[in-house]
Amino acid sequence: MATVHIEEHDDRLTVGIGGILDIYAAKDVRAALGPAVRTSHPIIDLDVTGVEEVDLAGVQVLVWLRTTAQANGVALRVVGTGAAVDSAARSLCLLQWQVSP
Amino acid sequence: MSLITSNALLTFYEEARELLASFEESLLALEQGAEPTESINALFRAAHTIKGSAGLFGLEPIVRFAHAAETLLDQARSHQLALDRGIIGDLLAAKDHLGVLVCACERGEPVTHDEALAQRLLSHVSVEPQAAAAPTRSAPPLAPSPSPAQGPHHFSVHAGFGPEVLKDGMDPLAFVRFLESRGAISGMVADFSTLPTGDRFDAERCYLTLDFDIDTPSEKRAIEEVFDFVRDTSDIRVVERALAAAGKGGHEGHSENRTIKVQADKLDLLVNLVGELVIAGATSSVLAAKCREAGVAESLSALNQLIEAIRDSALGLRMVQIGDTFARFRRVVRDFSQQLGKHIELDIRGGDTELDKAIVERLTDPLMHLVRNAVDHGLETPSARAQAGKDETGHLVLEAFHESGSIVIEVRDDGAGINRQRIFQKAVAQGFLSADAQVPDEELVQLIFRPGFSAAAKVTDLSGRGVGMDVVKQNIEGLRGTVEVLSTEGQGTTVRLRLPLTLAIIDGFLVGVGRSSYVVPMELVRECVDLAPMLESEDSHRLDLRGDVVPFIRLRDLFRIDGAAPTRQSVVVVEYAESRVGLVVDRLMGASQTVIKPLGPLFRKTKGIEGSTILGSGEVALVLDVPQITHIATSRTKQTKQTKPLPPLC
Repeated sequence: MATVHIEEHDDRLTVGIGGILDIYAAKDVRAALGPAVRTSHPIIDLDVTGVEEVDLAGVQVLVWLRTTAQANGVALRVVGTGAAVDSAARSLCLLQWQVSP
Repeated sequence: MSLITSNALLTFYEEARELLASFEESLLALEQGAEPTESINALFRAAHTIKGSAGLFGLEPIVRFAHAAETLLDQARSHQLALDRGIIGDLLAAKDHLGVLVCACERGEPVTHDEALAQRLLSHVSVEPQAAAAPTRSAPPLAPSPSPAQGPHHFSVHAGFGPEVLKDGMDPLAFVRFLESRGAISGMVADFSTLPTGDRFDAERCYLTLDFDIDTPSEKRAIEEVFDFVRDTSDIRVVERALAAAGKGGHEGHSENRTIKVQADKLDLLVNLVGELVIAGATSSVLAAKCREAGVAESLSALNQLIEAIRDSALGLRMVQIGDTFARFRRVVRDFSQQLGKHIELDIRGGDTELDKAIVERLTDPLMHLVRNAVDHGLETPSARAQAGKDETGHLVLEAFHESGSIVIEVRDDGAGINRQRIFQKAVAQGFLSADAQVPDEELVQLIFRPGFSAAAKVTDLSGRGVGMDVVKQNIEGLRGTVEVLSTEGQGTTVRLRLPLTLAIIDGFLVGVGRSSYVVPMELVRECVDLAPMLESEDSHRLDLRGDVVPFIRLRDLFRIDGAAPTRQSVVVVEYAESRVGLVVDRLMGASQTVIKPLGPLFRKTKGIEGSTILGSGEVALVLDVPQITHIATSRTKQTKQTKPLPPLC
């Protein structure tokens, strides 16, 4: 079960994703993120610290979030990441999602 | 460690050094305002390849540190970060640190990467450092990952997963994780380029294509089996590759290379063997001449031509361009000039001039001394230059070119030049000269090569030159070369190094004195004449060569050979560094290929001899040190003019 928490601030949107981000949750998480990628704010601060497990479907949702935000002219900053996302990013050599070497 | 792995490691170290050199070059080019896209891509590729290849061998500190640089460069590559001078400075420091790590790993020393520097690199990154600093981050510090098992098999894997793979309950990420437990993965490229943005994205469809290398003890079949459940719906290819090629990391290794790497030791062995072949060929020629068989002589002549061609090719293999060595000084000049607050432009010319690898390797230190001297003492600060009516930017030129059988390397600056008055004062103070000595300018400048003189404290503050010049001279003479300094006060200094093309095998001209034979390097021989008609004056040691006065030296005297000279003697006129000198010998014996063998330690300091060689007859001949003999002859002539006693020759 995954959770999505979106919060509007004056200058940015914050998005928090938690729980198990896998094939069973991917469709719902993607739908929940729909408003976020259409934001009028120039910046999305994303926190995936709460993600406990992630599979390739979950990784694809994160990649989609970044590329869609960028396509809409919105900068996506990862302000918090956890071991699950970090480990997946390490395995796939996705530098933007890693916390450290 | 298996032999294959150990060879691959050697390849890695060598390639890492090359990549770091090009890394530095790209950074310096960026700093100089080069087009950023290409330079940044080159920088990223270098960091990525070093990281990937180091991972292949489990060199964790290198992987971790290179990762920091790679992360920063990845952002620069995607235009999220502009590389300013500060970041370039940090990346240069990162390059230096990676060089240290590579060297330490090569020597088998325990290494840890510089975490503070890694953090400094990451502090420029706009995404990760915030994550790192964020209080919400809960990830524990990562322990060094255990080195996965590596093995003799190296595979390139391509996996283009079918769109339904995820819906079928398969997770490609799990495949990768499983493979991580089976070997060392490197050069991972996860391609999501088909993943659409916006509403067209289907969260349950797979868009991933993977390309990576794996070094593993497992057989090919075992790697293929991992993908068995997706084989029907995906494009899976597992190809075994040569380990050395894999050392390149990434996908660049797939392209056909026009060059191959050969260990320098193997080339040295080849040159040594060719040397033996030359000697054996000469021996056969002597024997053939004795037996007077036309057929044998003819076939030997053909054989000798082939030997000569092989000799030239073998020596050609060791020739390398000086440009790479010169390029290293861009960084030296940059760092020093920044440190000293000077504006200096380095101009490199003739970088494609080729020299024997052995010479190039031993040139770096002397050149370093000369460049540092020029930057530190020769070139002035912008204000001093402005006061002197010069352009505020100083110019330093490193140039290499061929000149009469030698390579000339010049280090030229347009700085303050050598202050002769100060050198004179210092020389008097140190007892090298008396206060009333009349010394010509050119000789005064030569004092900077005197060991005691240059080693004296604060010489550089006074003279503007001198640090390590004795060492430079020693090193260059050790390469059968010479050093010359030309300086005009207020206008600059030129240090000219003259070096032989090669150290190992030369075309020689054989001469005889008494029962001994000597070899003169053919490239320095200008002509041979009879002595008697040319003799201007026995006392003056000068010849009248068609109206030109040429000093001469008798090898019989130089080497104290017993016995009377024959009535008819010959003069071999040699030319070195624009000076001509006659060598008086008993016999002219013709051309001969000469394999120079170094002298043993006992004879190393013998004046006028730089090595020995074995003739076809089996006899040993000594190879004359023409630069030194030229110096002895010319200085003796000068002293004769001044009616001073001759110096001892040996």
